[in-house]
Amino acid sequence: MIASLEAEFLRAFDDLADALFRHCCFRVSDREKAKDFVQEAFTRTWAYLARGGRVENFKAFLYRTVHNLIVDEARRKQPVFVEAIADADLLPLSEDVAAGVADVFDADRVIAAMRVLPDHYRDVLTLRFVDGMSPAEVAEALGVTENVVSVRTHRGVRKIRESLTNQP
Amino acid sequence: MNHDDPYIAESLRRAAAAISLSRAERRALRSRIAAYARTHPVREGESERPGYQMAAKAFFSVFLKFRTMPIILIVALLMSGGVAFAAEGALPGDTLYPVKVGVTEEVRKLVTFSPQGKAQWEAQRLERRLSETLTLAERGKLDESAQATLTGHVAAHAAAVAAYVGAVEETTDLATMTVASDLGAEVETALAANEAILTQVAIEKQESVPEATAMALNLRTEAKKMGNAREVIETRILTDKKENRKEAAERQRKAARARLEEASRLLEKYREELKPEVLKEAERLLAYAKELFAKGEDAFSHERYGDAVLLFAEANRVAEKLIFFLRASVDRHLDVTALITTTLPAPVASAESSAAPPEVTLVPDIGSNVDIPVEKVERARQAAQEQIAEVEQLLDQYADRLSNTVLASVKEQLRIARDLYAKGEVAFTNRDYRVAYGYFIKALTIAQDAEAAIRAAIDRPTPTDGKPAPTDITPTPLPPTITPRERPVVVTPIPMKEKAEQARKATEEKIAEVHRKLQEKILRDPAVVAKVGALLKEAEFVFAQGKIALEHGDYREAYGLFMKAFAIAAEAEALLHNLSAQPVLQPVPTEPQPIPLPSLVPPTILPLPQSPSSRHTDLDIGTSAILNTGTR
Repeated sequence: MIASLEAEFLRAFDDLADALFRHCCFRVSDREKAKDFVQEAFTRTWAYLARGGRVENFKAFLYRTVHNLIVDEARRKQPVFVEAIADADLLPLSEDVAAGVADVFDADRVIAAMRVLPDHYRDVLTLRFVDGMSPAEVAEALGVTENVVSVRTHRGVRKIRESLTNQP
Repeated sequence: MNHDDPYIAESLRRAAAAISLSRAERRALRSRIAAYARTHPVREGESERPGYQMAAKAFFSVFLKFRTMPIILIVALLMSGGVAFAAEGALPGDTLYPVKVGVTEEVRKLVTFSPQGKAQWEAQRLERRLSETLTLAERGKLDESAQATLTGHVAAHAAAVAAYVGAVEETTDLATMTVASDLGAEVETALAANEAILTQVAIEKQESVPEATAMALNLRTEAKKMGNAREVIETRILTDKKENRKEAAERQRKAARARLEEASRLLEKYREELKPEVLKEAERLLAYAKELFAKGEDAFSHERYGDAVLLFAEANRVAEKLIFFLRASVDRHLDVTALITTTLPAPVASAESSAAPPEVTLVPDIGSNVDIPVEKVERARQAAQEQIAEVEQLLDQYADRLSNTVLASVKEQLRIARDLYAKGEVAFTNRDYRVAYGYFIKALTIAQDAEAAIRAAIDRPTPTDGKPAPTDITPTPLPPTITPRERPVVVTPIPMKEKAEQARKATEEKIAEVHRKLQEKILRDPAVVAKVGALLKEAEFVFAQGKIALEHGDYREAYGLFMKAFAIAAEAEALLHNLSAQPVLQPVPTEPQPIPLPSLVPPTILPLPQSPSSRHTDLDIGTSAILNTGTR
């Protein structure tokens, strides 16, 4: 069912692209890079399908792929992009998003605290609160047990609390 | 087990809600992914397609794996020609289209070896996609899936060309740079021309309108991206050594002449077929291109090579557009009159400004035979020197906080600035003040840009880092005396507009204030009064230029000009207060809040701060204009 598979895949894009993009934004703090990750996750997922792979749950699969991509990237040396200066500075926000900035002003401090959290806490908190996943889903996306997820959620939140109270 | 701290959870949720892909981003991303899916078909499993199509698909899918094929086989395939030839006319949606795009075109890329050749082939492929788009739109067959396929291909080819153009930035070979710059300009023009034609097709044929509109929008975006890549290279060429600029101008002349000849030939060939009004407009456009070329020749003969480069390039672009329009008129029976007319310069001054090259703006208000006062050159020299020292110091201080990319680019800017400064010194010693002035100003501008780049990078988290740096929470406050003049460059267009307007207001007030002060006290040294009056005039002049830029929507330029006017007015004010020539220093307002995610715009700062480095900006020009050559 080639045509229907493709349709299903594109439906997954329609449903999940924004959420994945948000997720990546929180993980990598760079809009352009976040977009690249989303694109890469989808193309890899398709490549997997095209090779005859089967995906039961697109959401979990895509989050897992994005997660692996980000982790791989972090492990590699930082690549140098010729266009990075221009891209990085010019468009941190799309225009329609800029309008919503006022809404999140209160959240700034929390986000700032979030950004200095160790990766494994931030990942869990992002999936849990930004993506609104259940602990079970987080566990599946990260490939850890549910227990680990709840421990990390708990500690991550505590750490953010601490840094908020330490920095009035 | 509920560890969801409601406050933290809610904050994160709200922050997340503000982040989303824009519609354009989403559409582009979707098209690319859909195109990817289409070009990488699933090879196992059943198909809903009729058997013969399936068989065809399976047969060709073997060839789609061409990368692993021995080259002999590929050549054999090309030689045998049958399928490949049949595929040449295929359009998106046809069974043979993947063969055309995925096999024959890729093979041609394989047998081209130089990066330059590959990029040129990518540019040609892009033009083929554009032509396919038009054909489909004409037949009313530009449906959503075809549009997605084509958008994906266009983006991929454009990205390949842009990557080549961008990578050339690292070379110092002039020939390579000019070829890249030309190629970028050519693709940019092709995209722009086809956007216009596509819109016209959609209007005339009333077919596939939403898809055509979406596609036109994509083309515009790609053209813009390509324009950015090209401008980088063009700036490199324009700030190069004189003999190199000369050589670049010669190359551009050759390219422009060839293009003009092609356009003339085409016009002759189609003369009979064109409608009289189209012919008339086409002749006007050709005449305009020739006029630009003649101006280029003139600039060349006066050794204004930078101007010549830009004029020849513009002539080239105009001729290229004409060629596209003529072809569309004859091959597609389109009414291109409106397209040609809008390409012609507007009756007012826009033709002038569109062709206004940086070397003209460099010393705009001083007649070419008038000498620049030595003090002025001396001031420019000192400003450049201080600015370079400033950048060196900043670089020392913050080198470890800059990403490799920023570091490399700043070092390059510094190298160019030093180089220009050294040339200025030579000219200065030879009492060639005009030339020296030009060099010093360019050195100053580039060093200021470098400073701005450093500050932008340390001022906010460098997103290229990928990982959050702890320093982002409490940004080191900037030294209060200095502020990056060019900092607004890196801000999104909307804040820039606001900034420009704030700067306009502040400057207007400052000028008025100095006027008042000048009149209120009568006991003054007449020499000082005369000097202040002169400075005020200068400030007003620069201010007026800023207003023009603002009206044209060129906010960055306007902001630079207003800031300059402000600096001059401040100097006048300082002089009134007998504070020697020191301007009143205002500390940079520091931002107390932690910087949020990089995806949040920092609060707008009132753009008033003066810096020692900008104190010398009572030079008649918009220095930012020098490098801002691409805003046509």
